Amino acid sequence: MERSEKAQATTDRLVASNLVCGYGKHSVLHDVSLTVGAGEIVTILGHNGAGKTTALKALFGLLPLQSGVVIHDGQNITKSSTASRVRGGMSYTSATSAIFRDLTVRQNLELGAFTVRDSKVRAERLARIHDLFPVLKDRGSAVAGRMSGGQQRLLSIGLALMSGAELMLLDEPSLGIAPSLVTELFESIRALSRDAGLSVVLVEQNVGAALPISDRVYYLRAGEILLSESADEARARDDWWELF
Amino acid sequence: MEYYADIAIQIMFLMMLALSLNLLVGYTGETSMAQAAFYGIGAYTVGLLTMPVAVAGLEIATSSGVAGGAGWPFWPAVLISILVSAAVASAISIPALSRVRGEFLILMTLAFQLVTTQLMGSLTSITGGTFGLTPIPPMTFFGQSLIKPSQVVIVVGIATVLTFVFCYRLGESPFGRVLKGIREQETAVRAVGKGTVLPKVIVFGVAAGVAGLAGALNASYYQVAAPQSFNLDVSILAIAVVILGGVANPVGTVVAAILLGLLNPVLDALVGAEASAWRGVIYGLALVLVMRYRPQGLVPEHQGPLRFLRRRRRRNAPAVAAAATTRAPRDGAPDATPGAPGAVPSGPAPEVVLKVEGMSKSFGGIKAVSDATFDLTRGQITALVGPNGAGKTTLFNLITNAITPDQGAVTLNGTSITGLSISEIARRGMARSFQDGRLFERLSAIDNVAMAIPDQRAENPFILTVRPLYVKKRERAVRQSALECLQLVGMHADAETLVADLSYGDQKLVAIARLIATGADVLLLDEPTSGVDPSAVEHVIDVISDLRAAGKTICLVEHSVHMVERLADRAVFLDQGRVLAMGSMKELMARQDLKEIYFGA
Repeated sequence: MERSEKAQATTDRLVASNLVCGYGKHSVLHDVSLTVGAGEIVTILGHNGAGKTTALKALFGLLPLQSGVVIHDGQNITKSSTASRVRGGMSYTSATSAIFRDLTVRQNLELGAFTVRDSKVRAERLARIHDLFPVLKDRGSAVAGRMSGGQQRLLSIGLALMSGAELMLLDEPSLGIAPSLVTELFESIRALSRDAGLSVVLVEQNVGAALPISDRVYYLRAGEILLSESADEARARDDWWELF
Repeated sequence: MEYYADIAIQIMFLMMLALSLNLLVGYTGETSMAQAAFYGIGAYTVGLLTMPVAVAGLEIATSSGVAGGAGWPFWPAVLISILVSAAVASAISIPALSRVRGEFLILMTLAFQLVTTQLMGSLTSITGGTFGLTPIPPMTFFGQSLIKPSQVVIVVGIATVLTFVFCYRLGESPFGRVLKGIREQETAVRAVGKGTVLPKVIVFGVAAGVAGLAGALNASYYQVAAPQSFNLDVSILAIAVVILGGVANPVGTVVAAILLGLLNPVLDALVGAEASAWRGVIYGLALVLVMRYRPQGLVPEHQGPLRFLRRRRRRNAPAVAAAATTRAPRDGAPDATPGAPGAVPSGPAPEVVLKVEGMSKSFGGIKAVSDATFDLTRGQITALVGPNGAGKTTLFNLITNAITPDQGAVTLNGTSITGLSISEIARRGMARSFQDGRLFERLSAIDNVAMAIPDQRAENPFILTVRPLYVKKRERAVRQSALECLQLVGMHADAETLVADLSYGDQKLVAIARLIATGADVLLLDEPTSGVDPSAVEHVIDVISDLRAAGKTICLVEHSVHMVERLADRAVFLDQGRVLAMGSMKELMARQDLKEIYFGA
């Protein structure tokens, strides 16, 4: 039984089926299913309050599921803790407060690689992130909470990249980031997925920036998946919002 | 019978003490370790006032060195006890409460509690020392001296009910809303133009006054005031009751006081002499279990029978209101048209509303803003653009004095506002929003917005007490205005939803509504639409254009080029803390150097 499940899921890094979850008594997600392949970037679009953030939290194990199954690399992780999901190669960047404000930038980044034992790997990743966002190198000894909102956002993404996760859940990565960097950031995410097989679930209101790097798009409305299509098809639409 | 009445009285004393403390811990988010000290001050005050006057040569049966009291009748003495407790509390709280962080208050009240207990025990000539002040005359009621518990329970019962009603009404009033705002986000309360020190000092005094009342009744009932009844253990017990019951919910406090209060007699009956040992174990266990399984307490903030009734009533009210309103300007309402339209000629001459000159600030070695000079023109939208870390938000902080500038001057409508507090600046007509929202998370959307409406006389606890009908009427108008502001951003359907339960994008919309509600003429918006869905962004663009059309002066920090191009009449380009250029967005983007900084190659 387990074996056949595994065989089916080899191309899918993450399979979430029939997720139902919410806060307290009222559920926010009703029967949400989605898949993410290896090296695939999947974007969830939807209105404010559609349940996008809730979906990411559910995938990361931050919210208990009322029902549904989550399979990561062929393993059923529905009941796993968030910590074990991180060790299993997942990362989550929340739209708010995703850094350690009282630590320095450098310490933040080092904590991002908390689960990585090999110091050479850590140094390599640090160098790559410094390449990507030079400001994190220049201000390495600055207290993170003292940096501007946009710089903190960059740091939060750097933190997620340090973990070397193979599946990143990104909630509004472009929030508060200047246009020049948004393009760069998204291109580097695309490059990572192409070269290193990084899978990404992206929640983003900046549709114009997200669609070009996405492979597939899910439209979420009021906690339900309305439609899933390839990003090419989505790009061809100029009336995404008519959908809702 | 007398036995049960005595238990009921003990429970009610605990209840009153915890209800008063809940005003601080629950509503204001300030922890006081000295509630028992104020309880004790009430007790000793009533004792000293009511004990008979010493007569030379005639020994009164005082147990210790106390010569005698003032011989007052009971109720005037109670009144003075309340006032003395309140006055002492207000006086000692001012230095701690004028700071933003709660740790100072905890340390200071802890010290005050310890010192007070110590003095009660050692100032023998006044307090009677460790054995206490005794005999205190019993309480009187309509000329009757009450000694039997079955008589006293009636008076204490009435006092407890009154305390409950008082605390409940205060907590749910406009004043209570300000307190909750202070608990959630003190800077945001200041940013909408309200002082926060005075409400904190007042509530500290009021809570101590209620504790003083309980203490006065306590002393007259037991006819003794002794240090061990008012020591740190009692303060901690009161805190435990508040936390166990649920903060900011008087119903929870009542439930928890009954549960913990019944523990003593039940244990006495069950295990007799070992009761005190078991009591500690059970208290500890109960707290641990509640923290684990019901961290918000037995009856959480937004629950309970009374709250439920209120909700039902409210739900009807806004429905009617929403149907009736179409942005009609009204008295005191923060509508798009400010107070005196005659004073603001919509004439052609561009009028500089805000002048910022030579603004500079360094953090450590980093120059966050250096020598920034620009101005805002009435009825125009000015965008601050530039890469991350250019100093845009810092500039907002400096203009509103949320951070003190190293150098520079700010002039609003021709008057210097340099060095004024952020709340004073808001009252003078310039308000700002925050990049991260800074909403009051555990308040509903409408309460968030209502907090920002200026000149609410109903927030004055004195008026609240003496003119309840007026307050009710004003509050209805305030909620109506708040609802209209929510309607402007399309959030009126969620008016009663707790902000914490809203999505990030919806929270940003509520933040815009809150800013509009201040009625300020100059609005500084820090990334108002980041994280807001594109269709709502279009709506926000319309709202901001309407504000401009109504003569508001707007400054915008925004990374969405789409939004800046649609809205901004003028842009100020910042990089590394310096103003590099000013002009229309088109002009700026025509400059290759700026374009590179902002868009990359």
